Amino acid sequence: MSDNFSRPQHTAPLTPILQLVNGSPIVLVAFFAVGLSWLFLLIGVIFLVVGGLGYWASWRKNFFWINEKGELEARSGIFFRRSRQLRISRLQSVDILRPPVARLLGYSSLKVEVAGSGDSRVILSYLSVGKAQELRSEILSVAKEEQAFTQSAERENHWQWRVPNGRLVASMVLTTSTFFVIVVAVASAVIALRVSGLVALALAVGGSAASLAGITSLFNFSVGRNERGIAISHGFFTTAHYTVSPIRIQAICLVQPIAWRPFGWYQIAINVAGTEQSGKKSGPRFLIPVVHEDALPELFRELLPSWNLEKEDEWLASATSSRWRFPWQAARLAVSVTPNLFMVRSGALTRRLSAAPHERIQSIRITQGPWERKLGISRLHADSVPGPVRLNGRGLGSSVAVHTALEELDRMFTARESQRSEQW
Amino acid sequence: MTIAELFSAGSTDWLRVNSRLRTYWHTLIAVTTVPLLTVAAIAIAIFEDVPVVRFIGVVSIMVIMIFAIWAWVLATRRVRSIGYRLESRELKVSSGIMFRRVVSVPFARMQLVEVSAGPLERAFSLASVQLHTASASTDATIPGLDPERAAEIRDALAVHSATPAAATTAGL
Repeated sequence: MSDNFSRPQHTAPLTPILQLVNGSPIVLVAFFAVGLSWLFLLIGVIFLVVGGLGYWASWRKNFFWINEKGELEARSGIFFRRSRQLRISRLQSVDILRPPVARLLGYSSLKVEVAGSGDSRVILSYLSVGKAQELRSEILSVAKEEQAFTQSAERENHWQWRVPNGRLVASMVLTTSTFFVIVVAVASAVIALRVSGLVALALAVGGSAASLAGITSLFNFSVGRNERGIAISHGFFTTAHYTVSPIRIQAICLVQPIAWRPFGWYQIAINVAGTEQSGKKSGPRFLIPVVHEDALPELFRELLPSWNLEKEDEWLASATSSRWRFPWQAARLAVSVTPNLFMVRSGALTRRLSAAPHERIQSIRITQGPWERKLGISRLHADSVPGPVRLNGRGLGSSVAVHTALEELDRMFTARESQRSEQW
Repeated sequence: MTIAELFSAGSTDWLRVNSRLRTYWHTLIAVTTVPLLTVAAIAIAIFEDVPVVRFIGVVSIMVIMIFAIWAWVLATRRVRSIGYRLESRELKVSSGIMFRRVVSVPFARMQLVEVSAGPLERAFSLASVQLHTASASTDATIPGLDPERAAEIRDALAVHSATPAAATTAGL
């Protein structure tokens, strides 16, 4: 690979304009709300000019390059200069993001993340698609310290699974929270149309748009396997590609809302190590947003071969007294310690089955509130990295909780990673 | 038996923290509530004839007082409830009166051991040791330690956390 990234350089010259266009929906919304007037047009023009100049000035001060120490260096800031160095040898992920407007014009952002806490992420906006892919390969080649990946970002998958968009929409509508959002949106529109039409309609549209944004971000969902790990990509307006080494998947959860039961659908949520920094989520949250139970065996065989979620495992059920604390789900609450996994079962309406390998559980906690103490029950938590999956065994008899905790700790001491946890 | 006793296989010999922690907490309560009460009192004094302000002022003074007295009275028991055990492969910490908890962190999972002492803590010559793992929910903090003891614990833990492989070869 040529060393054309070793000199400091700007992002694409069109960047300020793209940033301005990204900010303009607010102006457009205000435009429709207030209506056309000369004053507004004037304010709008001033806004655009000032904003454009600001973006342009900051673009001029933005540089990035790969320095001789093998670090991606990024400088920014008009008044307060800021310089960041990311050690590419500690690379966690390098993802190409394609926001809607930029994509239309053939531009994309490159998000680079390295292991470590604090300032360990840089998003370069905007680069032409070709350049983004080139930089991505360059970074990957530095990371591998060997011959560059000659291929572009889209790598060939050995195995792939796609989620039909129709089923995705149906499944999202059938989750309880989406259902409520739609009901509230429609109800507020119907009630308030008489009062003051447009405002209410805007609210309703806003509500639906919010849930629509959730759906469209998962559009065209595909999950596959290539030589670097599990490849996940999704998104309609903004597409996201992730490549996750299987070793970085720390916990999974099979989720089934009540309305999915007749269809036999499941969702698999995952906790991925090293993707959440200072509260910001940046990694994939789902291995698959919706899948029929018939496909589960294949999915597990291809993507999670060492995860053995056998149904006939011995479950340690919750104490009978726990129904005073968890009236609906007491009968379903249980934990299990299998040779490889720690598992938790819960949920009456939305059923959940969470699991984590012993070697990836960080710590074990037992907690007990006053009411739980009265009932003689405790909670057993197996702490995983931040993410949607929580392993939280509730309603267990206190001595059962403690004995299970001690047994699990014993497993955690002896369990070893079969593979070393390299970046890829 | 409490969960902490169960967790240590019936043994009650958890290491306890320094009782100066109680005095520190009492000072902390005083330092935070006195300014709040003063502000409320001044507000009442200035807007004497505005009934709404007077009402809000009196209610907030009462609420602040109740919380402060509650925390003050429970400080002794809270200090006594904190215990820790440095075992051969893990650190266990227990705490809480109403909401009890015990946590166990295997040495192999530690990423960082942090010793901290704020200005007020230093005035009471106290320090805290906090263990970090890759999980944000791991809540293993031992407050109220003598600074020398905190350093001892940190050094003992650092030996283990350096690299998991090294710890294994050392016969962990």
